[in-house]
Amino acid sequence: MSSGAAHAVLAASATRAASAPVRVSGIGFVTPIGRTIEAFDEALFAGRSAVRAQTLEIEGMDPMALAVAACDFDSNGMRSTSRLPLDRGTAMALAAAQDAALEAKIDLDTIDRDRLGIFWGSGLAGAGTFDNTTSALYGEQRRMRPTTVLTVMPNAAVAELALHFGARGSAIAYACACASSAVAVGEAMRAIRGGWIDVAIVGGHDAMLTPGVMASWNAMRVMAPPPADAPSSACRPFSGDRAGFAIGEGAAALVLESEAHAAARGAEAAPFVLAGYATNCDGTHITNPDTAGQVRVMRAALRDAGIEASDVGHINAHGTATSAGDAAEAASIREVFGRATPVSATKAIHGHVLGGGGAIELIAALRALAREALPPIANLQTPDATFDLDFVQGEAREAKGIRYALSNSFAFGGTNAVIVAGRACER
Amino acid sequence: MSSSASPTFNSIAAILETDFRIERSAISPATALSDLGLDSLALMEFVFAVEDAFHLRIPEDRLDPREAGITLERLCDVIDAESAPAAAVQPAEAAA
Repeated sequence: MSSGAAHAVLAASATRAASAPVRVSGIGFVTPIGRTIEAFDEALFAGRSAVRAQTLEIEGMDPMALAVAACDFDSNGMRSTSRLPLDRGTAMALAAAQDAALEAKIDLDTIDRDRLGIFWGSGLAGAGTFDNTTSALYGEQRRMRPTTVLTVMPNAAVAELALHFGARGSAIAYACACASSAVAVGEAMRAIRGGWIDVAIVGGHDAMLTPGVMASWNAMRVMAPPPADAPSSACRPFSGDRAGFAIGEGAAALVLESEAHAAARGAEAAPFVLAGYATNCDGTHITNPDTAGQVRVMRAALRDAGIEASDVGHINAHGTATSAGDAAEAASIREVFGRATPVSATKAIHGHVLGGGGAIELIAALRALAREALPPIANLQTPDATFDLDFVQGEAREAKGIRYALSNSFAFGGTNAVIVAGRACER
Repeated sequence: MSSSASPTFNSIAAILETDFRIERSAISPATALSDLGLDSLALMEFVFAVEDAFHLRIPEDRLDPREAGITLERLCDVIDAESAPAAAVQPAEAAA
């Protein structure tokens, strides 16, 4: 072979690797709609919301009526690998990652842990712990826990996961608000495609249902007031009468793996792959989303997957149910997909989990592929008349033969991330 | 003197067993804090947990957990001495 031909072969092989699908070998999650696939699916496809009303009372302030989605999860008995207390969010991250690793049947004693990476996103990381710790400090306790820094630092969960799994390839925290875990998933895809690592434990979390953090969100005027007669209908994505989101907590994890590594360890066939990913930044405003930026990132994700818009059978929208957020996203989806592709959004049922949202919603998109059914947008009675899209309303919709689903995450700060998931057999 | 049967010792043993995952068989009054297998941060968290359970503050000059040779028995004595003025107060459930 001439050196020119050899270079051509190498270049072709590099191109294939750069766009190769990455398999999803396992998933795990702690969410307000449950910790098991059965519970998750039941709420997802029925559009049953875990959002509840909570009155926040802070001395000297008017009581605040908030819509929140909490997890049935007790982290008190959990300890770090160093036997230190865990931030609630880190505990959720650990539980989700353990479930994902269990499903993937990863044998930590035999895999090359120099090629195992942790990619994890969180928006506010240990803010909940910091809120509790400092209120104790300024309140009655007048002392500071020696582990405060280690439990609140943005990479607290990443560090704990790396220690727990003995990962030596990489351990990187991604902090880009609502897109954090989607970016973590996507960057891990790139690391696997690039040949830097073979296996990654990826995802994200946020656990911020503490008084100071909830009051902070409420002060932004982005939280939906819970209707007295039906608090679970607080968040109404794409609705004409949408009023903002409910704040949620939770974690979701995926084990991503190269096909070659899975084959070498004799892993069972995985039903799903991540086929494409793109991230960009609006570069326009700290909170106002930009339709043009969203259009660019969705098109880039489709190109990365090597598919056309018409190949996508389902869009799991970011759908925050804020006035500006839904308007920008409805316009960007319309521009890229026309009216052809059905759109769901799931924050109405599990709340806005911020840094964990992208991973939870990606799992919702995988469940749509698995069940060949599209989840309805809970609480959506009358879509905003200016949105010309095919929203999945009322009940779940059958989607036989669906091949690809796309999950959007658009963040404060302008970071956008889009992941294209597909059936493994399509490639 | 605290013995292995004292309520104080049993409470701190329960904290070590439940919160810090230490085998009960490795916990005796003569065990030095430095021999519990906890690093310095975990030892300080242990002292925090003890303070919470007994609703007291251990003055730093009475007990630096990083100091070599301090035993669980000595810790019990400090707790009992600090609790004395409020002897009627029952220690909280260690595992709470």
